[in-house]
Amino acid sequence: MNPTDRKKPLIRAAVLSVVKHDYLPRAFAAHPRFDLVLVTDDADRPQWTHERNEAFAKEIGIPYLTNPEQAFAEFELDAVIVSPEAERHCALAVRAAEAGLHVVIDKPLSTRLDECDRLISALEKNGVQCLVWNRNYLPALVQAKEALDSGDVGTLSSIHCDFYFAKDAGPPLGSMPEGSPPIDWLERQLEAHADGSDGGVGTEPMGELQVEGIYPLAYIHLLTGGAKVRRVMARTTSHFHQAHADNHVDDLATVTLELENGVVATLCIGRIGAAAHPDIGEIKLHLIGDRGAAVISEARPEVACYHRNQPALQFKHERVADENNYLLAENFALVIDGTESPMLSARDARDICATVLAALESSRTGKPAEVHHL
Amino acid sequence: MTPLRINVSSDVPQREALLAAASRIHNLVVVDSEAEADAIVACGDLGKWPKDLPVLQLGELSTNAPTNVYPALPNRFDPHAQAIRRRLDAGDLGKPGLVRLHVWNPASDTLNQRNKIDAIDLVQWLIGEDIESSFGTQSQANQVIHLGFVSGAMALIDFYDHLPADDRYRSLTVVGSDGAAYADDHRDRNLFFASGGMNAKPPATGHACLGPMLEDFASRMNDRDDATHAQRAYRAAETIVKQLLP
Repeated sequence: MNPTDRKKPLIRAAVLSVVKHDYLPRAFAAHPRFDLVLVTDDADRPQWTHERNEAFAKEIGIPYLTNPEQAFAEFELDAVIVSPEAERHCALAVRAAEAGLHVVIDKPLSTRLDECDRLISALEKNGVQCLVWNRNYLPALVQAKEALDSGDVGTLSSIHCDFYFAKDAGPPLGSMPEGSPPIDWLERQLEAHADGSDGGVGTEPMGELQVEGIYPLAYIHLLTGGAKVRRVMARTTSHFHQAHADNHVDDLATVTLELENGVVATLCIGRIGAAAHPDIGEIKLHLIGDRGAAVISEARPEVACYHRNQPALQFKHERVADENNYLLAENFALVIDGTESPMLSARDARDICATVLAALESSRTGKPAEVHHL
Repeated sequence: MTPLRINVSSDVPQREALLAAASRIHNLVVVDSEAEADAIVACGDLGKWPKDLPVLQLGELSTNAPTNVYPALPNRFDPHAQAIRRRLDAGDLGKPGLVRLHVWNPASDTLNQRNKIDAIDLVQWLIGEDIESSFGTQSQANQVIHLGFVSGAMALIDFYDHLPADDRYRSLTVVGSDGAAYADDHRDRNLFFASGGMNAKPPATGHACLGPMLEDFASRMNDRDDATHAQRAYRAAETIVKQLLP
């Protein structure tokens, strides 16, 4: 990627809700091409959303406006950074696109294909760009991509991905007293905000495949050069957490994917509990090509730090040289400049949503499911 | 306790390593002839062996094997697998929900049907349940088996045998409800810089399964166990291989 052209005018961006991951707007606040102008969200949202939006606006020193359309009309914006509850991703992004604004949108794009399609239609109709948040610029992913591009591995024929987040999600499965009421999904997610394990925040329960599956599936998308998934076979279960079992969503899944050009991929994904790994989790890629193979740890490079009085939940291995957030902001600036394509576009993320939905269908039926592309 | 007298057939490929392993086992003695033996360790050709002697068979189990023939199931005795199994048995990992296994060999050591049966057996043994569903697919050089177990547990296994000569890669992950175990040659490798290049190699553990496997066999003989259970596990894995990887 070419470095940012600092002579170009700043890109004025609004934060269109920051109730989930504040690292998205922080990436743009830190990037020299962007100027965060305000935070905005709908006035009729619950109080907790306003509290989070206001807290972020206050920290950055920008206003919080409870009227997105007014913000779009009056603040000469170029782009929005969208990180609300997952079920509002597309609806908010569509409103921004209709106002002619470029969109960065938190993952996952949506859990519904019609929502994805509505957003794609709005983006294309209004000629605006969209970047969907991902981890494809992590150093190990860049290295994996370079290994493939160099030809060392040859033409990729298989890719196997492990994506275990060693995070808890409330009480372990089976640990609640008999007769306890089902755990409320939103309440659980609000509690989880303190340690950042609230990727599924919202009223609509979401399994791990829906919340995090976009990350490893985006790796597969990147490393296969965007090959389409044709068919999937999957199993899912609630194995670890009462909240997932009570809300009938998965916290553990295995997926076999058959892609175009004969490529085969597999994915093991789970929210496996904080005790199951010393760091954020075991995340690996196994690549097989016609000239070689590679085993990649997503965490590397890292520094091992062990010390007296170390907090139990502090990662023992600290990732270093991670520029993913900066490079995504950089990518988005270059996309707006018209010199690059988004690392993960709305169409790409829509295909990933279709793959996840096919996996869930396969898990329900016990049979392989076709993936429906645009 | 009287040591078990075993005769190791000349058709066993790792015979020297097996004899070395046997020499370290207190309740086992190797004898030179079948006539002196309480049991036989063999690779193939079942019909040749005396029907009244137990046989530990390293090769493929014939369809009509009698209950005195024990399929060896060597992957269960790999030191990594043994360590994980001990943690499972102690309850440290909780209920197993997922086993992920990569089995990669060099082109000079092609994976045969027995290797694949052993891999599936290992997964079944760690999860401790019957297979409920199975799915297989493959790319050019990589075969994938996707298994579901009765209680909802799942497994993904892949086989690849086109690594460079003398290389080998194994990775075994077991995720349980209370913890996880990662046995991965990626972690186990040491770096060697020589002749202008770099090699990453794990310390050799190739024959480390043989001793525990023989000890287990001796223990079963002592307990007068028959091979029904081991044969059932073997047949379940064999069925998957025959269905999915013909």
